[in-house]
Amino acid sequence: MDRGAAAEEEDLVYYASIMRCAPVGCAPVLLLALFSCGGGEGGGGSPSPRPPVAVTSSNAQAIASSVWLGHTVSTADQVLPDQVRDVLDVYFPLLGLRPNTLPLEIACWTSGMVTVDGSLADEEHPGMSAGDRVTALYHRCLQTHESPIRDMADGTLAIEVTSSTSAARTLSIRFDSLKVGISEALMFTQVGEATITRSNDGSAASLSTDLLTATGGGQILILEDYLQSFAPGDTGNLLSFRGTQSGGDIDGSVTFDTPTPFHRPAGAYPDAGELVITGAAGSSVVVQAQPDGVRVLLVVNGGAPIETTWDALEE
Amino acid sequence: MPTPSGRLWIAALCVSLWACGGGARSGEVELVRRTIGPEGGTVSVTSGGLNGLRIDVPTQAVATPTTFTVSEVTVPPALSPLPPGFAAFKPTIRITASPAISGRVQVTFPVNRFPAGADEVLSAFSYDDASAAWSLVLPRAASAQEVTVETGHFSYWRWGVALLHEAPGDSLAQAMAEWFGQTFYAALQAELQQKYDQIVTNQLVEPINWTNCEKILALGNVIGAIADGAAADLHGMLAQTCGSCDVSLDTFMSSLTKYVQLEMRQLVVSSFVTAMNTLTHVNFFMKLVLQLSTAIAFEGLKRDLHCDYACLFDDPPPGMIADLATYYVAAVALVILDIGYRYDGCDVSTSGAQVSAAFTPAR
Repeated sequence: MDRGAAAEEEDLVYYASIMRCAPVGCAPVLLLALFSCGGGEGGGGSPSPRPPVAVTSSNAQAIASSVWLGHTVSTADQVLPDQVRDVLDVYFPLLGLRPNTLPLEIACWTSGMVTVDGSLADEEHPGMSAGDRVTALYHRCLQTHESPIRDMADGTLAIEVTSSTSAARTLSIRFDSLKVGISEALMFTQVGEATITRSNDGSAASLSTDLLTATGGGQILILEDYLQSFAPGDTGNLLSFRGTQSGGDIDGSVTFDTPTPFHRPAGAYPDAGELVITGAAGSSVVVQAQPDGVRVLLVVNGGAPIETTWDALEE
Repeated sequence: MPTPSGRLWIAALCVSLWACGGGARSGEVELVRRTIGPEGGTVSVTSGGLNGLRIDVPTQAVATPTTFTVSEVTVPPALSPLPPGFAAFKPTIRITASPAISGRVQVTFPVNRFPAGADEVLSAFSYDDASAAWSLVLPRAASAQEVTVETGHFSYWRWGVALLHEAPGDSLAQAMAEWFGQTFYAALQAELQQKYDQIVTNQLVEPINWTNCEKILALGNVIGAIADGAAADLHGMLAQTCGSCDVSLDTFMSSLTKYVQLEMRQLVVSSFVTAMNTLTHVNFFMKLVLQLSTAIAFEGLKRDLHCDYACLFDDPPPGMIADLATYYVAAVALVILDIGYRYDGCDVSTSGAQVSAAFTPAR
């Protein structure tokens, strides 16, 4: 068990396998997943969408794998970006402790600071009233949490509760050039707004955005007309997502949808559901879950189904 | 004798001198100043963001009339940043006493309510110029409106919440020694070291073969039995010393176990990556124990449990410290074993109940 000389790549795998993927169904941080293998261009200025990529028999599985890994989750919490979850679960409650509406400074685990300020309608129940706002200003905040992977953030994240009921809250999220990454050398700048709805019991969540961009490391990711939803079903959970992804580890853009939401039994791969990924000139690959929760059928451009497995798709 | 206008001029000069000298420094705004003699008294801030902050000077805390000031630091000097695990309200304040005093005063900071998490403790943070570091100062009293610390340290201060699972171990150790009192703390520390050596160093780390699943499981059962015995002893002491509570010891022990498991999992997982063979890191371990002790002692847990267990610390019955140490060490060891068992790919599917039973201390 000598992991003393473990390479960073090994740590990443370890991190993913221990902390984020239990027991199956990896749902790593969205950005990391979407950027995980990409080459790509990029650089300064506003990123612009790439032309659709043609789906062929030779790239279909790679595209299917990329879209699946980039947008699947196995719990409702994983729908929320890490920083958003921190703000909701930690910073909002801490803000309720402040006397005389003073702002709060929170030391990050490894180095840096987060300054948290905002307004609360009910200081006793922070973040639970419509109109509650919190702004988290990250100052080169380096967290390690419980993993060997460091999590860097720099910039501003603003969250406003737009509606709140006894069952759920809806939040407006603004990424104001928020840079996130696993080190200062690998940072992605997020720009855009999103709407998140989260049930108060934590069992369901959705994230939608008209446009969210992330750039960094010479790469670009653009999500348009995006919706991701995770909710409990009669048995297991239901996962759906749709939108257009440009860049990331896809050399072009694709549009995807789940006309039949995936059914995910707890701790298992989907045993039902369908993902349709459409590329240039109507080319497509359809991902069909099979009832055994092990196999997956890929239908490329309407051809004969190709059998593979969830394990292979997530490799 | 000065004319009225002359008095105003002198007053203005005094204010100016204070601003540049013994009171507020450049980059600070003095909020309150009061001279208090041996009879004692209170210095209070009654408006603004620091409304509710006060210094209570007990009788005979000062031998001669002493001027206390509280200043808001508007342009922070180059102080070291807060350590991880500290969440503090802005702004930083500076408290002075002139001439210097040898006694202790109580400083009360305003808050809005109790933190919700059992590992979050209302706290203050004092700045030590010599070491250029912030120190955690645990409260002597806390309510939903204010938190009070006792100190003889006059320098920069902040206050807020200590997030115990992130706070640095040395800072916690220092704060706990101060809070418990040196006698109790030293006794606990000695017991913990002894138990640690007995259980972790001698029995766990050195001979263990981490790929031997049966042996890990067997050790889990042995150490689990040790935890059972300590828990039973504590149960008896609690009933005798503190009387009945409206919560059971099961709840009490459950909180402790949950806490140690949470903490250990967060930190031990990282240790596995780089230092699996050096888990004999005593300071690391001590931090966990101190955090646990903090969680037991302070208001958050008392509030949650509706029961004050301070009686155990005020006048510990014979053997109580040893039992506490045993229980903590056993709980920690069980978490290590559990993680080691699963990390090494030992079979948890066919013996899940057995594994769970082995690695969960009785309560």
